Amino acid sequence: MIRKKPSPAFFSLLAIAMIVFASLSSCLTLSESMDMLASQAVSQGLLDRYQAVMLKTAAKAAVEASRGLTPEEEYYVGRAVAATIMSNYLPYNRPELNAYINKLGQGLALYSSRPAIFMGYHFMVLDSEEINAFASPGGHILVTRGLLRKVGSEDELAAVLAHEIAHVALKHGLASVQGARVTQIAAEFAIDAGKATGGEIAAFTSSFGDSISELAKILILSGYSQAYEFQADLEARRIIASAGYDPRALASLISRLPSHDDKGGSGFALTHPDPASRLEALNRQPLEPIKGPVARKVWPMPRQEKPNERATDPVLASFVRADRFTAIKVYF
Amino acid sequence: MIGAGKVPLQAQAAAKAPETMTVQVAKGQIRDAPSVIAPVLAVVEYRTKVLVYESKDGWAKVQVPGSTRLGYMFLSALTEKSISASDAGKAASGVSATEIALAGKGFSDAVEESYRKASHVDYSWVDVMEHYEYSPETLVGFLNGDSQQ
Repeated sequence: MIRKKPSPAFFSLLAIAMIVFASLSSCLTLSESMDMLASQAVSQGLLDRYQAVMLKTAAKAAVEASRGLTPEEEYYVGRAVAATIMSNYLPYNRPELNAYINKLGQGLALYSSRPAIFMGYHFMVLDSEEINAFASPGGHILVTRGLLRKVGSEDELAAVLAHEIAHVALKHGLASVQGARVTQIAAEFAIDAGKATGGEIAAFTSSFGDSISELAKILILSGYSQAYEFQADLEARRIIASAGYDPRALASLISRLPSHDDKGGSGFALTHPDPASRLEALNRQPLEPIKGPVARKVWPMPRQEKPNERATDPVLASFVRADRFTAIKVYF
Repeated sequence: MIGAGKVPLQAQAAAKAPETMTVQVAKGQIRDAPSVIAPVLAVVEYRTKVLVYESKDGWAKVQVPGSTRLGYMFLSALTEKSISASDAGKAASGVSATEIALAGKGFSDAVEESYRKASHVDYSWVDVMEHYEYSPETLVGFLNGDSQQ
């Protein structure tokens, strides 16, 4: 039997195996292991310095990509998605209305399961007849005038906003994009700013743009999965009840939304489950006891506040809400 | 619970070893009591590590960095994960003025800038909507039907 002398490639494979084994047993990161491997390959003449840098960069990108998006990156993705949607729909520039929507929405967000997100929750009305609403992963929530016109009270408006807040709080946006796409976005962010060249940024930007288009398309055309919509309804009902609104307002609003059978249905009718199935799903789950950072008693029980958080009398509050809703409705 | 933040740290810490968590919001507020309208003791930046003594009902009892004082933060403002500094933090080796400027802004900003130019997507309304920002005191007052808000 003739024994051949092992080739250099054999030694390099052996080196890979030893380094991978060492990384497993001594908690070296994959990136560190690849750095060592690349340096060794260069010293053995298997790779030139350029190839070694490429190998190290690829390893680092793989590690960074596997971590998912940081809250800051999620926010930037959200900004881009919101900007894309507002390129398709005209924003409704009524400062009084947008101030009102933001006070109500940001107040409700305090009662969500994620009251603090990277830059907070922000709201804007879109000048469209279509009945629709969108929530970006960065907390940008957009509601059309068409949907506002379906709303009959501040309680129902709270239900609309809370449903969108719930999509953000439960992280439905990025979860709806295919895993590979999220990995791709993460990889795009995974280079050092100080070392990035214009060409690298341009290449990553192009790919980033594709990811944003995909997410915007999901939000505008297909919507979230039925399971996510039902989850958002349950969370919305909990949010509005915690904030002192009537939890039944969500069901009363849903019952007036267009069904899938309606002719010419668009927006909500296409991107949300049929109202009947949403109501059925809501009825199956009784409202759970209210807990959370700023928990209140369930409406219509009188709320017991801490002395310096003491609310206006609940009956008086309901009059104030009704009055300001009537005043703001003229903008819908 | 109001005033609990003033209890000496040693007495608080005796019960359980604190856990290190990372701030995952741009500016996290540490308050004197677990209430959104309690006075703000300190503001902690994104990626700051804080010691968490306990968490309950969506609030975390934390040590104010650089102090022995305890305060309260929204638990959702914190993560158990360590957030890697893929942008500004690692960019110290940049040499040119452009690179330093880019490092200061962060890679996320650079991608957004480049994406804006390439896609012609208009961000101006996103910037407008982000200007609508209200204090928790105003928001709680608004929800409670305070006609002044």
